[in-house]
Amino acid sequence: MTAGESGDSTGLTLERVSKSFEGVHAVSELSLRVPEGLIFGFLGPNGAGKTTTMRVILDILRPDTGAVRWRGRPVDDQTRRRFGYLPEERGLYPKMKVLDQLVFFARLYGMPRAEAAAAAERWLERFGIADRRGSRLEELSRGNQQKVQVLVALVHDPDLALLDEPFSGLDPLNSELLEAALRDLRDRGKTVLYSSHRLEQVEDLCEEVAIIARGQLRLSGNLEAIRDSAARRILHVRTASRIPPDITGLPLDPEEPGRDYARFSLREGADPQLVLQVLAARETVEYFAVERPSLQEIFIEATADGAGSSNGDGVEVADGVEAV
Amino acid sequence: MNLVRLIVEREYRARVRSKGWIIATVFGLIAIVGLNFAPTIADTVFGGRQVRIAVLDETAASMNASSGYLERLRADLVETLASGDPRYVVERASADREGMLAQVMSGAVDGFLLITEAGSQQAFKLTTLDTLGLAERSRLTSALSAARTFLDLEKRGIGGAEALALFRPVVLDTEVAGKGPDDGEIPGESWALTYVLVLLFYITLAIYGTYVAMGVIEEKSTRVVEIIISTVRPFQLMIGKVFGLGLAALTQYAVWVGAGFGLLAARGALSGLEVGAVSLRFADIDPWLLVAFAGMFALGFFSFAGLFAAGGSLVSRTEDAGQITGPITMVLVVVLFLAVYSMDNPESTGAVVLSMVPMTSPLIMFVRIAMGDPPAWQIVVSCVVSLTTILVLVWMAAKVFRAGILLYGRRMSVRAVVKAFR
Repeated sequence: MTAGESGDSTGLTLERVSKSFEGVHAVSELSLRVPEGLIFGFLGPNGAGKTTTMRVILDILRPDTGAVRWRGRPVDDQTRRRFGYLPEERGLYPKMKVLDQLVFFARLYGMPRAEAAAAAERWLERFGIADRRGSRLEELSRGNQQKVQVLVALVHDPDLALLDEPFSGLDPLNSELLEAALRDLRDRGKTVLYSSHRLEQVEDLCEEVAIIARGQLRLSGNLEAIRDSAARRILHVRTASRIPPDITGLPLDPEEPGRDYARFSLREGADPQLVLQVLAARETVEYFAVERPSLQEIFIEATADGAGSSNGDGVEVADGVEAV
Repeated sequence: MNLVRLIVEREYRARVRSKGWIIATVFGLIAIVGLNFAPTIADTVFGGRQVRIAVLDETAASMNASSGYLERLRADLVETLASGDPRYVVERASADREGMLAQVMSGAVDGFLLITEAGSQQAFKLTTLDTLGLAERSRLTSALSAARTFLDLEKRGIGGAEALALFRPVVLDTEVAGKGPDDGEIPGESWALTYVLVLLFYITLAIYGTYVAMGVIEEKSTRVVEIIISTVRPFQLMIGKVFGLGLAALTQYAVWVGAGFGLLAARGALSGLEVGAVSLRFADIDPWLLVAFAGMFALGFFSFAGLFAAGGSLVSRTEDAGQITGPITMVLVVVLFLAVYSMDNPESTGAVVLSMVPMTSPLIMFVRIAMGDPPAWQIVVSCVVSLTTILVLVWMAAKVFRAGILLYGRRMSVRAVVKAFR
């Protein structure tokens, strides 16, 4: 797993992409590889440069330096028509009818008319808004407008779907529908890159993730590998009575102190067995678990400024991070 | 090109299905139907009044008794109303001045005309109950002038047919050197037709230019632009918008022209029209003139549509549209005036130059074709200039549009516009 090599002939590759606006670096020296046939979580705090990166991939913004490749070749008009895009700034033609809208965009992406109409009907059916096919978009509720917007990105069965926070504004039921749709795409060999702040869902849905902050890549790669290779371990402890507040001498940093339940992070290199023995000698231990950090924890650590400590084996760290 | 066709199709459909377009088309139809019956309606509502004028001619005594103002006015004021009744009834005053004024007040007559003489000068005074209309005033004035001339002549011994002969009109035969008689294009007719077509051009652009600007702004204000631009080049989008709206304009005309001819056919008047003093016989219209109009109209339409598109690219909110369409409409008005001036002298240096200058070229060249006979090379130059103008404007619109895509709600700075062309 090496990122940024231009020799790759599959997937999406960003090579040292930089984009600044009036002196402010929105994205700097960002290299990224998104393999084909999986769902890729593109994560970062607000203002990290996720939207800018997506716009650069679609050539809505021209990068100051760097290049974007799809299947080893620079992205051009033809390849872009095999992409689907859900922009952060939602917007379609408000006075156009729902079905017409989907058919129009599908054809714009190169689908023949009959095929586009069939696909549009199918997607509307799948998302439960087939009865609104003849309504103008502006007549729909915000939630349904959001669904139509998502469908515009998917209706032409793109090879690569770039979705900027696709789940925001969707209720749990519709989120389920969309999750299933994305899994379907992936199972048929398509690639999905999406940004989200719902990290538990990302954990659930994504095989690979990238976390960026301040326009720089903080880490990327296989989600399980990232979690495995995080040096830190989390201890969950429950005792029959009060957890002694002074477990001094143990290699623990309290994360979530409580009366009979507490969460600690284990210091690097410490042996959890030793902790268990010490605890067991003093209290009745009812529950003791050693876990990998969650994506949430990894995210917070990776995006906290100056943090770059979670680089372990098998995890790629962007060039810029060490310098921080 | 397939993409352009898709955009054209969408723009066209969106336009012809919009409420604004449907309402405008229907109002246009109503206007056409109205115009068709306007002469009759206007006559009944505004001009249908018969005017009874009593004349007290105190100069009659000094005149040759064979005729006086009364007889001359009767001979002259022979117009009839739509009903067939005479427009003016001229009668001899049946009472003295005071009596006649009373009759005016009571409404027995509409006007009392008193003609007096002091020395050799006649004075005319008309007393009415209501203000006299402008048309009636000028008609009476001219009738009285003619009557006085006629009576003066008679006084000097030139009377009857001899006097009438003095009034016969002159016939001017015109000929263009080396081209034979110039009777093919009688200015009265082709002037009116050209004037109508020039006006039509202006009205179309005033309406559709705004549509084009709004259409371009719409892409940004609805934020659909990010998806569009990730599949289509801005140039294709602009061309598609402009042509789609152009087709919508043509459709509207087809409806109106169709309705117009339908009405004419229904009245059995397909051979021609008579509007006031100008009659228009369709058979007399040079088909070449219509071809020239269609061609120049298209060039002019797309020139201005390109300008409106470029303007629309500068702003991103519908509310700001006026700042853009206002100045461009002013340019359009100037072009309209220049075209109307050119009609009086289509071969003046000004008209010849303007017919080959960007923006003014199509309309003024059309005027020259309609009213004169410009050399072929100038027509070719005009077309080339216009086509280049269109391409440059659409290209500029696309450039500015591309640069301003993500400026949601903001206006482009001058610096950003300049940067767009680098």
